[in-house]
Amino acid sequence: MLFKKFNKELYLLIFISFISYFLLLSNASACVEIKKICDMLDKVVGIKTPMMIASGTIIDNNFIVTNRHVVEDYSEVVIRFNNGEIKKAFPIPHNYPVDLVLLSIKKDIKPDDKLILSISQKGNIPPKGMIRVVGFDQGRKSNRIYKKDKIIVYPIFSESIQSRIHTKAQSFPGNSGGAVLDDVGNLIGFLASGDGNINEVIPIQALNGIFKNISLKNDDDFYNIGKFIRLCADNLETAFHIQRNPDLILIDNIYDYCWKSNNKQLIDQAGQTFGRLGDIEKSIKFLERSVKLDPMSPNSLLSLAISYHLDRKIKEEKPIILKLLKILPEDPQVLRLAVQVAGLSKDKKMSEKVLSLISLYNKDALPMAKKFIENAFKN
Amino acid sequence: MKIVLIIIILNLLFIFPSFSNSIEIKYSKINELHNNFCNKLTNNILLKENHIWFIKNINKNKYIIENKQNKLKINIILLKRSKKIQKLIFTFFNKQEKPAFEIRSNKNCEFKTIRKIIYNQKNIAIEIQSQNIETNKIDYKETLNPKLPKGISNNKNIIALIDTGVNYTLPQLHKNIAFQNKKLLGYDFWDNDNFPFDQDPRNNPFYPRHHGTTVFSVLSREAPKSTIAIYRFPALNMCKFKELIEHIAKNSIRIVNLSMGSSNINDWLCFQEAALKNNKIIFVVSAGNNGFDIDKNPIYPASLKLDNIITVTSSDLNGRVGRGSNIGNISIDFMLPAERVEVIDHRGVKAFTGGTSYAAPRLTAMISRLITANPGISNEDILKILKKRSIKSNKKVTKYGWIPDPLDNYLFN
Repeated sequence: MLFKKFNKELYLLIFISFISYFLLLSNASACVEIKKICDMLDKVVGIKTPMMIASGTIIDNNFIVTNRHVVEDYSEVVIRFNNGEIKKAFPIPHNYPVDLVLLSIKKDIKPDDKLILSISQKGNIPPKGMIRVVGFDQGRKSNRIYKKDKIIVYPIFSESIQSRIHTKAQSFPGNSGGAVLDDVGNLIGFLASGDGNINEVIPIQALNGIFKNISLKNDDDFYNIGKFIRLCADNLETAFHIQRNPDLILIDNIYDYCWKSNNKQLIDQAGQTFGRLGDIEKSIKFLERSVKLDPMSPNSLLSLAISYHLDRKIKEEKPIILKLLKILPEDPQVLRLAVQVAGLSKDKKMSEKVLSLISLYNKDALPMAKKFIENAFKN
Repeated sequence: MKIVLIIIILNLLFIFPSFSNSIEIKYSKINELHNNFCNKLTNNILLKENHIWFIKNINKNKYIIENKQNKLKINIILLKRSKKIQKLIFTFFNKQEKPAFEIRSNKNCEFKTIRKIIYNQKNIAIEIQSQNIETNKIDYKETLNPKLPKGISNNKNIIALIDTGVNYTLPQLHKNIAFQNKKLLGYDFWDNDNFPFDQDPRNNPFYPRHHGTTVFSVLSREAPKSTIAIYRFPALNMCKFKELIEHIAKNSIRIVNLSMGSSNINDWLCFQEAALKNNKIIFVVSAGNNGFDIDKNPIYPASLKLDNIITVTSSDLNGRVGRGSNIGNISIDFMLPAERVEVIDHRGVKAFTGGTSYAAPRLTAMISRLITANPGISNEDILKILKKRSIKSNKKVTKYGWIPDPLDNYLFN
């Protein structure tokens, strides 16, 4: 009896220990999402380069996808699997202008037809429901499924290959290159950038272009652009710490390297930096290019609207604001700019539209908005 | 001359009747006084003392004018560009030497704005009114001590917010206001009353600054299950901090948000004494936005060396120190992203703002959620978890590092 009891207790203890050990080891066991989404925790890696920490998404036993701006011009990066295993990975050069790159676990291998076929079968249909990012969390020091949210804009990929999915799904620095999943766990893209409020995702379809443009003869171009990306990022970082009167060399460097990087995110950041430093002409030039690359990007559109506003180009600002009112009607900053544009251009129809949106989304701002518009029409 | 002056003063005393009733404002006399001084100043005619007016020229851009017989006092500030007057600000004081009217005019001496402060019988400011120049009607009123809301007592997970007060009339904030015996929990230690309404008149009483409501809105969003006791800080007598902290201790509040500071340690000696005495209370303090190292240029209470003070600075989303945010490898414990935070301002308007004032409530809310999940947790264990959640940086800007996602409840259970 005693033996039996001991056995029972021992069995229970071993079982609990096993479960605890399993729970400790596996993030997935604590995961509250559906299995397909939870499983993705083991398909994301942390990436360490000399410059940054980022994420990557495993798409095959040998291949990982991350952002081009993560890899810059490095010929190898360090990856950390969710089980703690650390390996080197090697970028596969390509000359397709999207902010993605394939990393291979082994040197000098290329994706096989099976992988290419499986990706090419992904349709270009906007997913229904919410999306969420799975990426490496610097704070937790492990992979994490972030809070889901809605898609704001789904791109028409055929119109511009650099256009992106824009979403309010949560993400943080360090998630770049992480997986983006729909409600049933399908991989729909890879996180590229964001401002903490609206985040940008490169649709998985972009991989087809990369597969078609992988070639060893692209090496030089690939690493040259990687160098421009790195130099652009370095100079933007230097500029971040400058409030006014920047060195002219710094301005030239940002202009030159960021333009040549052909990277939507960096062109955006360069435009914002020029705007902050008071060079509105350059700011507008860069942000106009950014909007050309991704015509429905809320972050780029808002930055461009602000630069036009600072330059008192209300006529140019107006169509941008009207577009933003469709994309982000609840955004306080968009509504505030819209009130000013409607008043300054004395556009009655636009005024009525903006005031009705303010009464819906920021009703306590209505008296001020009305007053501004009334005064603008009087003047 | 005397008779004219008496008429002017009488008119001044009864000027702007529409501030107190709906009768149209009579501009004639105030115009006369304003135009007289304004025209002289804009035409570079030196104001000179005479048998009626005592003129004190504080500097090139500021005059104090006093009537020798009836003590009527007017302050005039000139705002210039390229040495030319662009704007004039006239402040008229009442018999009790309290600011009563403010008139802003342009370089042509045309009125641009008119504001008045209404006082009650005890000479306490109760309302600010703004008058439309064209219609002469009041187009804006700001009640300074509005009626308090009533609520159900909710004494769990209380955070104390010490700030410039809160606009407690905003319905969107009600669910997080702490109540005790159906009354708002907190106090106005500035005015010594029960109405801790958000206003800081120190810079300009006609256009008071507002701060506490925005901080409250961050606390309520990020610690939705907590309630917040509202304390208006004792700006006129900083030693009342002792009384304030005793009030907090008496109500068993464990965590206090203090998004404020100054470089004068004397302002904070009484606070220091009370905080040291009540060492179970955690004070989350903002590091300040002066752009310097507070280990070298201390800001208080951020730089006070007390175990129960946690000092916070602000970063951008990438963990870079915010522009203007103070740093300090010894004095500052943590850095949190707070450069662009959505807030509700004192009017109820949604807006974005940022800086160390908003890093503090983000950490306060995080600690409050941690306490909610672990009611018995010690202050030492709270600090341990915060340290585990932070990323150390090679650049020594804080003691423990950067917490990238303060909304994450990781390690709380």
